[in-house]
Amino acid sequence: MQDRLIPILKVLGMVIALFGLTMLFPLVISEAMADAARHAHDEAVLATIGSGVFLWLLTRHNKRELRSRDGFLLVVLIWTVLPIFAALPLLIYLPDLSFTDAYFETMSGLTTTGATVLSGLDNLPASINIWRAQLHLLGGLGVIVLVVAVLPLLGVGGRQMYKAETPGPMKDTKLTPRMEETAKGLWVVYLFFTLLCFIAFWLGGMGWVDAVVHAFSVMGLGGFSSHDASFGHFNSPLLEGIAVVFALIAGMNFATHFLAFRQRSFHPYRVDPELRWYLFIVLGSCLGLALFLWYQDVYVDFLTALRYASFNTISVATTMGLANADFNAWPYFAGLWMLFLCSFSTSAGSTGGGIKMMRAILLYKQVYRELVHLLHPNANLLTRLGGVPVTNKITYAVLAYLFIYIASIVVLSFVLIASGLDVFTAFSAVVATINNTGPGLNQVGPATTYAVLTDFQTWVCSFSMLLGRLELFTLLVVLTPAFWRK
Amino acid sequence: MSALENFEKMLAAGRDNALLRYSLGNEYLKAERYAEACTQFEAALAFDPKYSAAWKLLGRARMDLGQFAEAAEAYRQGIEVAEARGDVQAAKEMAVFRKRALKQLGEG
Repeated sequence: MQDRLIPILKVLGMVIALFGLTMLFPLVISEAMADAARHAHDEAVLATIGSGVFLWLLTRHNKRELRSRDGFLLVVLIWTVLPIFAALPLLIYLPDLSFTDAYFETMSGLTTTGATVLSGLDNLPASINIWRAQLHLLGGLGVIVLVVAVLPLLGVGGRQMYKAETPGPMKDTKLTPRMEETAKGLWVVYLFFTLLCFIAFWLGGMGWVDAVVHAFSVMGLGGFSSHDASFGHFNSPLLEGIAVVFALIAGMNFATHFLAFRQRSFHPYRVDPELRWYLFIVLGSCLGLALFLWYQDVYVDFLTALRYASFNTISVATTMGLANADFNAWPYFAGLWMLFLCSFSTSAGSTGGGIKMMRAILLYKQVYRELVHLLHPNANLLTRLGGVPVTNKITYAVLAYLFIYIASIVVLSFVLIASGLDVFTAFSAVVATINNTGPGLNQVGPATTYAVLTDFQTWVCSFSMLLGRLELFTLLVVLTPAFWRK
Repeated sequence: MSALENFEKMLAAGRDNALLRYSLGNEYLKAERYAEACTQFEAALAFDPKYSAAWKLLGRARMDLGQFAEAAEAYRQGIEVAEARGDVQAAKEMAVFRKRALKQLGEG
């Protein structure tokens, strides 16, 4: 056991130390703005880098390479341990905040869920709000993908971690011969769009702190805001337009963006099998919900209905989670439809959550194939995606994934209901956290926070976020007895 | 269910600390229930007198109630606390608000 754990802890130490370095950004902001959180960032940086280096020093003599199986455990450890260090600035700055709530907040940040337990965001120091949003940026494409991109040392066994963390069913797709180059390329494209989003927000009238927070939040499809009223604070159709455009970009496969950049062509977008469905379903839902809200007299004119329906539908469907209206007050159908969309709308390889559009398309095609089989039992039918035949192995994996996904929602909802939460809140909280969306309905609606949950319920939701971000299997495999057998 | 209802529910359930009182006060402030907001901010400050954000919002709630002398006093104490914590940004903001409160007093 010790032999197995030491090389994992060695890499974990490096990752923690590297994560500590990213904490320097809010520290610099805090120093520059002379805000009240300086000591919180100071101490958090020291504790994080110190712990990472200490762990690495203890284990540095071990030279064993990571195996495929180690990748799963390492990824789970990274995603459970980093929120502890990420929580330090919050715990030091807000001494009344419990560890449970602080861990939930940072898990929500890193998994790009955007569910918050904090209120009074408008009066938090800028550096704390930037740190919360920075967690979205780091978690967006994945901490591991980032580490693989910037730390060639992790090339050893890195492929296993990369595969264990990367969202979507087609994890073996090679964009470049070397995985480090792929990871670096994806991050460069991601940072480019984030910079563009920041500039657009800034030119659109946001202050620079708000622009940084919301650019990180939008591109990571997270949902943390620096205002209690979320995006409604700005009350600006222009800024809302910018946010939804970038949210739609972030909900697309970054491999497609990467190829489009490299080829300097729109061709990769045209042949992306998920993209047309993603845009059709999300934009079609905006129009449908706008008509519904107008018809239900929620808004007096169609254009106002279109504005609020579009922003909130795109926000929830892409799992961004920012809100410019309390959609909890809309007729139930609207909120439930939006939560349904967040379960599958975003593309594989995007920063969004849910089961991903690619799996939904495969499931649809598999159902259609079964129907045709009933009519033509001897036909040899192939499922194709983007013109490429999909093997039965992938189809079975997707079916198993869907089963686990639904079972997880049912089980976790029952756990929350048994702990005393009402059915609607429990179900929406699980759907909103497992899909890394953020706001749910009823007691955890967009106008309120998750602070109302008990400690136990908060831990269940933290687990749900992690389960969703690691796409179920990576976390569940570590919990099986077979994983721990020699 | 609104955030205000949620926080009231948490308080009724016995979860009481400076952060919750501050959050509740903030929601009362948004709902323009200024007297109740003041009570909550004062309760938050009873838990933690060094809570500069609570002093700032207490000053604001008192301003909205037209209690300018009390608002100026809240800002004065808030500035002291913020300066002691090195929170230059908050101290600067409260200094501006305090000037406004004193100006109102002068005109009154």
